[in-house]
Amino acid sequence: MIKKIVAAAVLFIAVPLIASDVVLPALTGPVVDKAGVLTREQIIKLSAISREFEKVKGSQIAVCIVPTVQPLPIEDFGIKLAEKWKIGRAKISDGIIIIVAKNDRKMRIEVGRGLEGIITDLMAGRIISRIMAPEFRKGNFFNGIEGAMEAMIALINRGELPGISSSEAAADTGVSGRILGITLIVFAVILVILFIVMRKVLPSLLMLAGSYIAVFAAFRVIGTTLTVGESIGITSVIMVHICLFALGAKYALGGSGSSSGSYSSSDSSYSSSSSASYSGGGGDFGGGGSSGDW
Amino acid sequence: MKKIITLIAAVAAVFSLTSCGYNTMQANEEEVLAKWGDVEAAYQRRMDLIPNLVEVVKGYAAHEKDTLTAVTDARSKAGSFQVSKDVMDNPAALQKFQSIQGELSSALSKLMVLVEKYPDLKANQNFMDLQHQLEGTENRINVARVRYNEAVQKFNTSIRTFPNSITNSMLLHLKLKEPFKAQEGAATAPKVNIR
Repeated sequence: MIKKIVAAAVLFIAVPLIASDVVLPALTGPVVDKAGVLTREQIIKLSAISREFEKVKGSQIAVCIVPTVQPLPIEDFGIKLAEKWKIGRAKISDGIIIIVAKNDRKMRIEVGRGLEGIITDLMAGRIISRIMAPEFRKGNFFNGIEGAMEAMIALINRGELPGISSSEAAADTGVSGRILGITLIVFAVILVILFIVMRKVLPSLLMLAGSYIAVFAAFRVIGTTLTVGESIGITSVIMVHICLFALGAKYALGGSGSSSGSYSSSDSSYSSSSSASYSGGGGDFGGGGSSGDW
Repeated sequence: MKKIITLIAAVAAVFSLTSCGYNTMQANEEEVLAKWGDVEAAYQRRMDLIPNLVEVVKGYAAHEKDTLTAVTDARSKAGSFQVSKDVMDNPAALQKFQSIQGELSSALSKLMVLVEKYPDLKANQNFMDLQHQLEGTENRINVARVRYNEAVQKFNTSIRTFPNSITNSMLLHLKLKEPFKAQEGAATAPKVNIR
């Protein structure tokens, strides 16, 4: 019996793992070379350029070299990789991924949403055809990639991006709002309970009115404006719930435990990072950039 | 005793409320709307590129009137098409939107095939720049559509499943959203490969 359950559990966990992420390499550092075209020193040098720039400007530049992106087109590979790596700061989305598919002789510059105005498709295309392609044809992968990085760093330095610290501030406002909203809902629930429990008419009606307002305010804080009808509706739902649970608790002393809903946090897990602790900051990509071959 | 019952009831009520899905469904709908905005922006971006593209091609291949007018016509048709607010809830409206943009895609791809006959045009810097931009735009359209469909799927699932379905029918009355369907137009979207 236990064996069966374990087997089922293993199957449940293993199948999705095998089905997804067949080809995407893990983000082990700013430069991931799965095709072995760079020497160790070259990887260190390129990584240093990327890390240094991130320190100064905040933007992340990552490099991914693979033998092939088959069976996907390099554009699809690029966006999938971007979704996995999340290079660039959250909200600002100032990440860049340089993708090189060695055997396909194809490359792509994937540009984060926040940089689309600075590194336009046009500029990315020019960097590919004028800097990367000529060097790649000579077999100088390092020079091509370094040149592309330097060119993009120069572009970003000329453009206007938010400073280093502003990303953290932007990311946290949502959470505190949610906490306030939940607090207000709890407050509303308490008011409703008081309304039910209380004997005197006038104060109890005040409690009820207060709970409507609390519900309204709670949703307002979370980001939805309710109509009067809707807030009354929700409060009534709360009330019905409470009455039902009170009844349930009365008859089946000890109460039936309601299964609390699954609460999915908004993707707070950090994307894969390992050896030298490098990870994407949560940047968003919308398909900007350019592709080319050599 | 009474106090304990009230306490249990309060805790239970809070938990059951967080799982009724009221906020989740609305957040999911907002996401669909946002993703649709991206879809429209990407298509608009493509339309903005076309006049320049036609102009550059004319400089080298003015006598290819049929292909050029086909692109111009398809563009003005797409430009004058009013995307209604309910396009996401309405299968027919989305179908219409998709077929009009699909016509533009196929006209564009014919233009790009034609360009192959004119080496001078292909070497023109202006044209090469436009091609980069067109490629980028086609890719953005693709990404925006995929993400819109993902958002739609998430939203539709969230309003159909219990207990959200009850909350929805009682309070929100949100309608199912329509995803893009893979169609002929998608297959013939111009795959502009240069160099």
